[in-house]
Amino acid sequence: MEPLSSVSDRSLLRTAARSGPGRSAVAAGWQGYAFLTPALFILVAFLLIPTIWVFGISLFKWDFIGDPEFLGLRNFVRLLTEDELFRKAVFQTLYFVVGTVPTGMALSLLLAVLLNARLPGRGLFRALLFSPYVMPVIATTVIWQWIFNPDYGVMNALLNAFQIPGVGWVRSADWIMPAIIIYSLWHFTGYNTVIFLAGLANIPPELEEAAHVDGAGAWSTFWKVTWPLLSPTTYFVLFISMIGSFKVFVQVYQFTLGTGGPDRAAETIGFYLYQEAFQHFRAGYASAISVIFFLIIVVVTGAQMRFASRWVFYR
Amino acid sequence: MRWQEIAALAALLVIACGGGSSTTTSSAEQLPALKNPVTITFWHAMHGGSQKPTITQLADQFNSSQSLVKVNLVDQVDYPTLLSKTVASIAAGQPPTAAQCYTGWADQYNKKKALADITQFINAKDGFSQGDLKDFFAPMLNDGKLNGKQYTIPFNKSVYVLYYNEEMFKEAGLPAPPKNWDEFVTDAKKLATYNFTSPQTRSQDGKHWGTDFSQNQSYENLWESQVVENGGTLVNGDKTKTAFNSSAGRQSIQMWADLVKSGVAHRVSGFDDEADLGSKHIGMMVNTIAGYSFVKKSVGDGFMLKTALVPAGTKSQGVEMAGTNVCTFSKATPDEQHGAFLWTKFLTSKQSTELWSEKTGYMPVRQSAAQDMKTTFYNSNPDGPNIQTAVTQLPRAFSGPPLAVWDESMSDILIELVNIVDGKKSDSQGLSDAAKKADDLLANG
Amino acid sequence: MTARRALELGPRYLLLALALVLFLFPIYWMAVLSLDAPQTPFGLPPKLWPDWEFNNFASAWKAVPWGRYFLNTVFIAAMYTLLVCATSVLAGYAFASMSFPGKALIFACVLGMYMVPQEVTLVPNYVILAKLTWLNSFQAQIVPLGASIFGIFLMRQFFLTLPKDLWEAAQLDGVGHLRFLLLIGLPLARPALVTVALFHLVAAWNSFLWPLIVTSDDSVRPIQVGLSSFAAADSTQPVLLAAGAVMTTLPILVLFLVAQKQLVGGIAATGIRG
Repeated sequence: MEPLSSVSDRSLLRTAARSGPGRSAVAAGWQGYAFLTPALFILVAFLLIPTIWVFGISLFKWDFIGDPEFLGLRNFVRLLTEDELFRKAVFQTLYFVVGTVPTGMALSLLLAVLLNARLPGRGLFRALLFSPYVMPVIATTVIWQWIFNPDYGVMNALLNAFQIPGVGWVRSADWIMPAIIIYSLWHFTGYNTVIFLAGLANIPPELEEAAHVDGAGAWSTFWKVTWPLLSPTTYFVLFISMIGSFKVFVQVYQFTLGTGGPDRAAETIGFYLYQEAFQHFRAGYASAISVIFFLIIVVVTGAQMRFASRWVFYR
Repeated sequence: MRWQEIAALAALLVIACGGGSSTTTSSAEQLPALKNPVTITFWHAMHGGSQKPTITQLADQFNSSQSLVKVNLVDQVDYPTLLSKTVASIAAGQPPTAAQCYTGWADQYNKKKALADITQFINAKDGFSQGDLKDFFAPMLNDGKLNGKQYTIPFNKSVYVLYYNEEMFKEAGLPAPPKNWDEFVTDAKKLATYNFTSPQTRSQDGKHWGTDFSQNQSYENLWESQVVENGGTLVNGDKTKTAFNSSAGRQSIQMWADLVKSGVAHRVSGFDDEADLGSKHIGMMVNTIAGYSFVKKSVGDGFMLKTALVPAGTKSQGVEMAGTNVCTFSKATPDEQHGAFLWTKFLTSKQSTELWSEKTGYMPVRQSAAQDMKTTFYNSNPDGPNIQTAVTQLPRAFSGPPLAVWDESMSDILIELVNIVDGKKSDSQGLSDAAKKADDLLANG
Repeated sequence: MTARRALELGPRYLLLALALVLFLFPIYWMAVLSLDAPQTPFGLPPKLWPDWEFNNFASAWKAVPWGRYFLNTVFIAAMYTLLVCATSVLAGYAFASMSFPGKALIFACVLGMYMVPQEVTLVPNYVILAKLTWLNSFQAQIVPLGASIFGIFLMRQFFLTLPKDLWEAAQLDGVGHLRFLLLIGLPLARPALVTVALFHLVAAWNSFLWPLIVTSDDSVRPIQVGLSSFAAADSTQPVLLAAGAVMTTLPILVLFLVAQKQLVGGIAATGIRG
């Protein structure tokens, strides 16, 4: 189950940095541990131990059944120097991240700014824009596959209406990734919009009004006042979009009917990991992919946190 | 020597001699008939069209006909899912009692020591008689062997046939379906360029092509057949290296690339080819007879659907056999394995295979059933002649490489075939890339 | 509305309406397709008005055991949500309102584990479930995911806002931690808890990758895996597939529309508090 690209990473990370005893904590002794036990038991058994264990399995050749054969770092050498498909999967994952994150953020910020006014029907707009996010990816990709049908699909019809020739979309190695990116933007933009909207609501209107009185136009007010004040929210949206995009799996699986697409042009790290582990049953190799994947996430997150301390403006 | 080994040896002899009557199968060591009641699970992928209702009907018949063995069917929807779930279940130590499998899969399971030795059951008191074994179509029974030993029993076997819209052929002035691939190309061009006008031949939006090439494993299998028809082979003699990057291999895929490039063949994916034929967007396609009930559904009563033999290559005419056999897993108790064998025996009996064939289009696995169907089905049922094409095709059918890694290789090959068809790679580049991957798999597993 | 205000809001509405059309068209079209006549689903321009072919739903319903999938999914989603709520409330309360040695360290570790994507643990978790002989079971789809770091964190943030005098007053009455939590803490925490519950309910309904791997027959398969195989095997009949998509989407969409204030409001609130 996607653990709901958790809503509070930003606050979560900041709290982690200054975590101390709760403000109203009361001495509890053994009871404290008792309260923690159910959650900790599950987290340790199904998250902590597997994460450590995956490093171990990655050093072996294993088909889940027989005796594992120790390989040392050979899986990693092969993965990083010989495996063209893995390189392709990494490249395509980055393609997907770059294709979804900046555009998705710009789109959701625009929608949030449009909605951030005393509009009649604002709540309804907000809910309807959010609705694609609650809809199952499997059910909606089925529909979008037809939208992207090169012969009879709505997407090409729309392009033709603007005198643009249609493309092969899901049948073409060049266009399958753009198709998946467009679908993904449709699916999660409403979610980001709601978070931006909340961030905008937190900015005291007096500040923007003051800028207005000083003669600043709407455009420069936005960049001089709103944008800096919104930066914690922007950072948070960036963080969850990045993590979510790196993990992309279900839409790839469904759009390509489990194949990775023409010329495997939609193969991503998550999908490759799944194929190696549960279609070809190479547990060791798949674990090596997991390890690299984990390191990529750690590096990206770490870089973001460092970078964020420079430009995020905390009040 | 223990009795099982003797029985196994005897069985080997029986099968090696083509079931010669000189061997002694009723020796003292023969396994008695099953006595204890058992419940077994059977994993299958007979999901769509009329397949699921028919296999359910057969299981109900089996369960009510006797009280010793109760079979529970588990629908795994499609072959890729069936394969990955079966391997996963072996890994978890909880495999089903029996399942459908391709010979390559059986090799894969056998390497994991997961397959039951069914020879003892074949020879048991309630096993197959000599007559039974001789009654199976020989190419099918042979397809179920690994290293000469019978590990699996043929159940739902199919071959590729040419499906065509007879009305479109007539209107375009084509008197008969193509006999070889050159004619196929000429006819496809004619169909693609002809201006159809009647309701049986004109698609709703007026667009049409001659035929389809789909990113679908079937088209990779078809190419494998074409390679052989054009005088090539897929793997070398001792099955250690691929041999398909040959002039036969290149010629076979270049034909499709040219058809797609010139707009004669419609490049689609998945099962769009069946939909295209049904909606009169194409005039013909090559696909397995197993798809008959699907194609039929897609055609409805739109036009006269016909089938014909697959076109011949430059050297011969013949097709790779598709469809699966039944294998039994060693994790089950001996009695459960025995029960699974009895279910397999029922499933492949003359009555069952006839019913199965008539309802789904798959070939009957027994000669007596095919003989019987000549009078009861092929000449009297409107679909009979179409389905009979597959059986006519059977004598020239052959098996694909029975290799554990072949299944994975096939999906790699398909990727490269599509690259060639899409003009992304030249035929020699695409096939050499495919061969590299497949050779690597053959060498390292 | 004054003319000036109308002028101000007009362009906004126009742009928003355009966005709304783009966002809602696929959902609308899904509904239209599911009610189209079987032979004529496609073609250009796209049909925007259905043929009201309700038989599609009957045919789709008969093709695969949807009833079974629905029951499985409802059961799994309910159990999973309950478990997540229970573990989140207990741990969240402990981290917020109790003090004991090592708490800060444990909390930091829990937050650190947040970095691990689920994909990384697929292989080892599969092996663990195989060893437990839990594969192809309901508990495989419930227990391993039964603790949510996000849920714990959210509940902790909420309990931190409870005034300390509440606890002091309760203690004077001789109330222990557990009773305080059940009688006073939980009722106050309802909005936060509802957000956590809704969020995980939606996630459970839509979950795909993990059940795809750990289930192997219909007795425990959830609805999304069922729909995916329906799509793989029955894709030649688009209208039936669309009907299947509508069936699997409708319950969660209705739930969302009923509870959208709590869910969207909850996201807005939690996304911004820090």
